[in-house]
Amino acid sequence: MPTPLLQTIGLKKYFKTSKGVLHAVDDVNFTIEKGQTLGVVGESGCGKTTLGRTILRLTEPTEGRIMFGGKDVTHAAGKEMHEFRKNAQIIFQDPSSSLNPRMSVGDLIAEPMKVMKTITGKKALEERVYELMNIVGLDDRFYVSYPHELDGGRRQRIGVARALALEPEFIVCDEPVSALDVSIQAQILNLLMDLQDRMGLTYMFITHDLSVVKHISTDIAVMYLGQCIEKAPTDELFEKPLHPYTQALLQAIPVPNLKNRTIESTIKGEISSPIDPKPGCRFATRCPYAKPECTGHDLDLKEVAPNHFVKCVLV
Amino acid sequence: MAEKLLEIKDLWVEFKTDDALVHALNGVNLTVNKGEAYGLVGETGAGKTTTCKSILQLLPERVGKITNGEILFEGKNIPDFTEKELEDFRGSKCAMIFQDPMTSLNPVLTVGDQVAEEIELHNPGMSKEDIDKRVDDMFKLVGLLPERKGEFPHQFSGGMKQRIVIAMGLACQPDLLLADEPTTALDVTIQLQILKLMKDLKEQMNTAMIMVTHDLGIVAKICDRAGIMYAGEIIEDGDIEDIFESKYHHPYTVGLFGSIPDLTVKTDRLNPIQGLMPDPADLPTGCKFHPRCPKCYEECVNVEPKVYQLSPSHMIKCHLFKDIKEGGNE
Amino acid sequence: MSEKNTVNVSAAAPRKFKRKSQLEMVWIRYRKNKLALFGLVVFLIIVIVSISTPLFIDYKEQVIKQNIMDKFQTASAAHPFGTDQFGRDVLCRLLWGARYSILCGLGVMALSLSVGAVLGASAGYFGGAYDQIIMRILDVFFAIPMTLMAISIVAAFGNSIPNLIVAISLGQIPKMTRIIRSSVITLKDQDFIEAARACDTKKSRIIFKHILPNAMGTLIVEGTLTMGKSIILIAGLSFIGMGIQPPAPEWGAMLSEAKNYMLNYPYLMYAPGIAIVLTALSITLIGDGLRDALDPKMKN
Repeated sequence: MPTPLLQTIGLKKYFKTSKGVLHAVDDVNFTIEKGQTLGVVGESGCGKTTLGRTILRLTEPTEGRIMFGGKDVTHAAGKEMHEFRKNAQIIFQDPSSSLNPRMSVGDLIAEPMKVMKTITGKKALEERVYELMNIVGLDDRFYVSYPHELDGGRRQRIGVARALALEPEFIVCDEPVSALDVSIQAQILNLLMDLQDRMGLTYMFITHDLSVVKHISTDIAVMYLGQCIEKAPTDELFEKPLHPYTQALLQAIPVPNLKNRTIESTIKGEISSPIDPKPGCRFATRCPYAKPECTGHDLDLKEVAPNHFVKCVLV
Repeated sequence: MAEKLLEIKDLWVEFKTDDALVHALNGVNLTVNKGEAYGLVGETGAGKTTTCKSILQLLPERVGKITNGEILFEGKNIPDFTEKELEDFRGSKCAMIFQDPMTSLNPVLTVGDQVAEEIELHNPGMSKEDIDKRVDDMFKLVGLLPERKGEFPHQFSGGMKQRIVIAMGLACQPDLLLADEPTTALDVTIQLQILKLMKDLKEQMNTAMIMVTHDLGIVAKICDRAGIMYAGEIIEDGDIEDIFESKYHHPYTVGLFGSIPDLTVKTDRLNPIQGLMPDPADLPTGCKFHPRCPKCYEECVNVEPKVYQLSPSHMIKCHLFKDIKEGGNE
Repeated sequence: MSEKNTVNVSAAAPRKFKRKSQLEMVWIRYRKNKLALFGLVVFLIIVIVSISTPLFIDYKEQVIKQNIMDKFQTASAAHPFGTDQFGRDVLCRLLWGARYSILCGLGVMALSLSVGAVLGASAGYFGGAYDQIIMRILDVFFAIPMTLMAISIVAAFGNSIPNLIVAISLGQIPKMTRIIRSSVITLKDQDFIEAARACDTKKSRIIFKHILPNAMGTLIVEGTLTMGKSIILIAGLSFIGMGIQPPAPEWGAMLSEAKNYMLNYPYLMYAPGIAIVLTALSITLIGDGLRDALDPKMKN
């Protein structure tokens, strides 16, 4: 069996707040094989963004290990860290706040290569920037533009080009299309998928939008209050969702056709606080099937079918 | 035949800024019947919000101006309303719900007081007890505990805040509710709860509604009719059966559907619309969609298309349909 | 025909997209604000005057030499602004006085800006205990009224120009640090800083390349406003005798001397008074104009 490109083992990230300890990421285990896309789905406050940043060590994990290409990078520093940063990049949600407003498009895309010194010489650098702009579908004339002069879709293309500049193997896409209009959204999704085919990239795709994640992912992990509660290959998850929360999420998407116009919401209430959660299933307070055994003790992620993991007493 | 509540006829709105003249609405025609939910679909900058603000006469002063057209509410033209009539119209006949619930709630007043204020404003002389009772009723109606009315907005979560905003909007039982992307800022499971609430309330109170959204899925769930907006025009309008099930569509509508990843069908690639929304300060000639249209031909570049009626309920503004006239095409 | 060919050749030349430089864009935006333009013109005149006065005015002969015979003359061709109680030409003194105001103003701006930028940027970026210590120390300075602090420092160390500059700067640094710190804190949470960190960018590069350029607008505006304020403060100190000492023709000192004769010879007060107001005003107008001009998001 080949070593997976990325693996997390018992990854935790806690934040101390005045009200208690916030469990943003709580014991998350998963692997991503090379060339695959893991979709991470969940509602606001479920810790999916923190997970992405912790994996890239933009925030330091509280506990657990991150393995990248077979090497433990949890405490990597210096040269090792440099190598990891080169290979693991990120695309952000809001293309307007993720681009330095004082830098032109050309400078923005060249910046990672200048910092990492992967390409030296002004001419070569410029050539490479034009090449990257070409890859992500930005006209050459935008080389001298500033981000605020461009629309959201083009700005996100700059974000993609910047992430590609160091030729990474792995990219965390943190809600890269959520801030965009649907027609532009589809353009960026197509771009990301084409790039994956051409360059053999591996993605971790964070989003709250199940229809987007279905389109782009090979596997999906559903998160709820810092924990991964279900993980399965995409088709399997959509056909046989096992966790009540996953079922509710799937049911909640308004489908653009008239086959079923009744609105039924099975889960009540809203996400509870991630501060000092009690042991037991964190979804129990909203779950329509909750039983006494759901609370009191923590549950394990059980493998119920090949590669299909669920954290629920019902299965 | 349904009774017309709101009719917008050939509405043109311009925004004049220091350096540009922005053509926000370019001849919008739409009708909302009593008790009907009308979905207004489009992308950023299509003019959806401007349409709503024009109805309530809330366009920014000096900058935004209605240059042509009528907005008839129960047969009366809203832009001709006096200050007094307008006051009466806003709130008690027509209310608006905004996208971000936080901006429409006052952070220093309790939520109960804010709902009460809305009732008091439009029912002068109502007794304190009656108002109080109405507030409790409204809270129950939107699924909140009346005991929580003494709390402040920040003590509620996003979904609850939106419920309060809906309670405020419905407090005076308006005939028309303008909902501007009321669920965009919410999570999907909460969105579903709010949509269910709005659909139930609409049926209970027989309120007509304009649902502004970019999500065709929401339209499919709760609207009776819908219009697709592009660059300040409604380019397709019809019953939802026309929009979702007809064979004939405006190329932009086709593009919108092509952009949404379908959960039920496995596709390798999406078929998005190429290009970008036009700059409303510099609109294309002819059909405004022609630079992005895969079916564009010479006429589209030069001549603005007419509105073609495909069936009594379904209309499309596109040259492609000039030969397909009324009749059993569908 | 040949003309057409050359055009084609240049069009086919390597892709090079020239556009106006950042500075040109700033100037185009600045130019639109007529008041700011007025401020700039006034300020430039004052600066030119302050630099060039030694070329045509003799300090010993024209500025401080007393001619009791000519005292209290009203405006004439020889003395356009009249003469003072020692018969010195008011115009000459006024022109010479510009040097002090501009020198001290620039000095205070440079000192408080550089110290404030270093302290504020580091406190904001690193946060934690370091931030707490710096901010609490500055709070102590904040609690002392600015003028009072300046007076006590000058009283303790003597009133030379460098001392004055330091004394006034000390009063400005806490505010400057606070402003820069808060803009750094908002900037540091932006995703583009995270993006820079994801490329293993060094902390110094993040501060100097990504944070400070974005805080530059605030910095420059605060700097100019501080300069305007400190010019008034210097004049104030000199007025109460704690600043630059007579016979040097500092505008505040001139005002102070003139106030003794203001009932009989009020014109003596007009010239330095108007000069102070005009200088401070022009600088404030420039600051306002720059704030808008430096924001690349402002439309041209």
